[in-house]
Amino acid sequence: MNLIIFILKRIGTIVISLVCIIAITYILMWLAPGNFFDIQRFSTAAQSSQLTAEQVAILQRKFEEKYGLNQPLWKQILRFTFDAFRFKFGPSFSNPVRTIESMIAERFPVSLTLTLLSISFALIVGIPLGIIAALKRNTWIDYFTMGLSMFGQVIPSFVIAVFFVFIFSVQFRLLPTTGWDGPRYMVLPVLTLGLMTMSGIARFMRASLLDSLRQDYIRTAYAKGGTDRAVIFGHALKNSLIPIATILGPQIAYLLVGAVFIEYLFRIPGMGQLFVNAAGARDYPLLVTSTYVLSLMVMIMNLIVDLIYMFLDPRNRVK
Amino acid sequence: MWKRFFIFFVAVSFIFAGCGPKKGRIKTVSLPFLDISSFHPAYWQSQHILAQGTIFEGLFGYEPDPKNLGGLKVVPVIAESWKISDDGKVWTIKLRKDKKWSNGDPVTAKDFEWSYKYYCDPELKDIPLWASPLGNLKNAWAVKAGGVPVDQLGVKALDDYTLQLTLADPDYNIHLGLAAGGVVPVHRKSVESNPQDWWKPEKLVCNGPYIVKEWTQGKDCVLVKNTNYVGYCGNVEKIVLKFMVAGLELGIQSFQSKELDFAWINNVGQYNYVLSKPELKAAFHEDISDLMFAGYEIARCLDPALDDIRLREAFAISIDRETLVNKIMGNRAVPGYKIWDDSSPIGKKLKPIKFDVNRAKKLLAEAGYPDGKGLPQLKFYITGASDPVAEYIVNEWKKNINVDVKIENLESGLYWMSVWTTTPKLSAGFMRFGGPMNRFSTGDLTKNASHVLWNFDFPAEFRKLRYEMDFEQRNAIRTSEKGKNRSDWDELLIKSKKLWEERKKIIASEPHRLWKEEMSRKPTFEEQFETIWQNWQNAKNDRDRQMWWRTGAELVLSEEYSQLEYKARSPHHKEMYRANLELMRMPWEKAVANAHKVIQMFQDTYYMVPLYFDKIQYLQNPKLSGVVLYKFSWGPQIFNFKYLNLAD
Repeated sequence: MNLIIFILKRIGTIVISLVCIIAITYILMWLAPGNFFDIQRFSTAAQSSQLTAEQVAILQRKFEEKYGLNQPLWKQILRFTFDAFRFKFGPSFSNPVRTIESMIAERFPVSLTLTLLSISFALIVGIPLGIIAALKRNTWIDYFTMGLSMFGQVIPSFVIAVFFVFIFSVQFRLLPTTGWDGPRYMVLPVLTLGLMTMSGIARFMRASLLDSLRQDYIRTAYAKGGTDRAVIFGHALKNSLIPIATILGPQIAYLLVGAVFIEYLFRIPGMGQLFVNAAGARDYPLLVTSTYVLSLMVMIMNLIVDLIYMFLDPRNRVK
Repeated sequence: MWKRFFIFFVAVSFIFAGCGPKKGRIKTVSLPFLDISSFHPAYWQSQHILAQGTIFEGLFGYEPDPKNLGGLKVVPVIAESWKISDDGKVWTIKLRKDKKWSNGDPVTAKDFEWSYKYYCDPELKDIPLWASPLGNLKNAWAVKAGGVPVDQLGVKALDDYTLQLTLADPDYNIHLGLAAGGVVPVHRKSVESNPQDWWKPEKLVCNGPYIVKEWTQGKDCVLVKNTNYVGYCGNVEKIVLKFMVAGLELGIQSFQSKELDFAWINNVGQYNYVLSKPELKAAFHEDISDLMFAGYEIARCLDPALDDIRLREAFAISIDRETLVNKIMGNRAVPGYKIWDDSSPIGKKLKPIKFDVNRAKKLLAEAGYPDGKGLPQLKFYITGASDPVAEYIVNEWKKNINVDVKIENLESGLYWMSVWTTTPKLSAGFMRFGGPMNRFSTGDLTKNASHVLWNFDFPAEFRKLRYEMDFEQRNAIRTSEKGKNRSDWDELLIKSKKLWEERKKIIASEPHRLWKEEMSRKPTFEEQFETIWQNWQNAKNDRDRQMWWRTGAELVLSEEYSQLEYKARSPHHKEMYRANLELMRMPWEKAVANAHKVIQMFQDTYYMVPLYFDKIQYLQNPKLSGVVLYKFSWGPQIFNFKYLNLAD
């Protein structure tokens, strides 16, 4: 019951935060140089020498009515916020035949799949690597695994991507270069994105496990006759996972909308591509929507992280 | 455990290893393409390239012809024959009777009439009429604005296979524009049954040689042959278009692994890599982007520092273009001394901008800046991470004429706004500029150098006044609370009468027939103002009254501005304007033969300076032939896929 109340309170906070974010983004957009009428393609139409001034005025009014620009700013923000919570974002400026929600509906599953696979790879490889490095501290195994993780963290992802493509696609023809048409196509992008996250997880895991292994309760566990396996996996590991949960939340949000380079390189129709195109085209409805979606993702991930914390550490549970 | 893991790893590798994509016996070609956001042919987006002869066909189309501009010529496709009235305003076009839609329906003149009305209908918003010859149909803009019913649009099917186009202005070359994407017919029944998404592949009915079978935005688009197509089409049965962003793509690698039959070479690194691999060098092709020049323009600002033509010429002739293309651009361009290069009939007649450092120094001294001393700080505006071409130019100026121009990086939005419009935010300087043709039209032959007529060559005082009128005064009108009362009109009514009298004097004194006609276009200023005044008097509420007052005030401001602009043009500027009007009205062949005279006038102002022409470099599967390059403003791309053939 306490947990449900906690979750409901957090959802309430998310809603209030989103309303503020939408309002701020909308106002910033409004203040940007050139109003909607000037920037959008209508102004090109209005410049035709065949239009009379009367017709320009009619076109302007229709344009303003279409986008609600004839309303006071506060009404526009309210209308957009109400529509945003219903996931209705209207047409995109740069793509007037499609609604923004249809574009997001098409791309979100792709981004989600890529993100989940990358995170899964990072966890499945990174956690054991970190454990091995911690247990074999100051041996060649430790140096090798940490060297590998440093490699993953310092080399930019697009460099790693090109390297993988050169080896696996061009030289050995094992995997396709680009696309998103099935499991074979997912290997390289997942490896590329996952490597970066895996490196961070491995390093955090090592440090965290080493820290846990120095604790008194671990000494007690050994003193009671516990085996290595029982002590490490039964006691130390759970506590060591808490910092991993910390970095996972923002990482997932970033991967959902931020892996733009990788999406372009591997031709993955994800959300990162969509939002970068919007910024370049000054597609304001899409820009506001992308800010909204990204904020929502970050807040949901933070909530999930907090719930994971509670699971991992009873001291954090809601009383 | 390790043994089991190793066996598992090997097994997984075998599952994922393959022999590459299996093409089977269907002749399939994979090509890189731009992002496609929909297949609606009317929007000025990448799909209009596909609409031009691949999934749609119009009355006219493009055919490869190496002897013509851009390697293309315009030929009749669905049109069979045509007649033009003496005044150039009425085109009567006979259609072929054998053309079909992909569902077997015949393509008729009624399809074209309905489609053009559909495009111009005010319900279909945001269609860029400026980019389409439909903008010259009688009443097109008025229909689009909702002021005139759509059945008054200047298009009519006289019978099933005869189409009549009535134009607002005479145009003896409209057939050239009718080859472009925004004027292809659409299938009426499909659009009426599915108004929101008729363009989606599962519902799309086309009339071109290929139809869209599958599509995912941001990824792949699969085209297959239209079995109901009548006309020539090569032997490629399936085309896979792969969305790739130049500079962020693995095109060369995809070509090497045989996933692409065509790949663009986008930078020096890729070019050198290709030349170093014998198998890639064998697939290498190159062409010149002759429909587009790359150069720089004088920044469109209010600062008068570069108003002296001697200064502008000095800068233009002190750049070594040979070194620019060979060393800085890695031999991926050819020097551009003129707006058209020597491979074209226009370029052959143009006089070049010669590299002459001595003359540049002399001009600087004559302008009052010997050895570059005393010049105000000039800037070269760029956007993005860096611009090696701008850095080279700035170094050349320092080295050759001792002028220190600073490079300033602008935010992308501000940069692109400043390239096209005058802004007080910039001080005197330069910006990168490229002049393309959007399609074959006499107006496009100047490749945007005609911007000199609207943005440049005005005295600094007029530019300042123009900015004040265009932005500050116009903004003040739009935010004014005036317009509710009759007294708000007093000043406007007096001013409008004075302006109209002055306009009549200007028209009477203008010697050029075409310019007189342009200034006398109906409805006149007086007629428009009267309409707006009447609308205000008939308005039912304050909101509408304010709207009409603002419209009237803006109209008066525009007229005042237009008259000031006319008077501010120097005699030479007026000569250029008249010459440009003449060029736009000429038949195509005559325009191509005479365009050099007008273009030379623009080039000699040194407001827009050519530097180079890009080379279009690409890899092509040796078994693939019939690749047609699209060199207009969206290019370089490949299009008109019906000419593709794949050898066994």
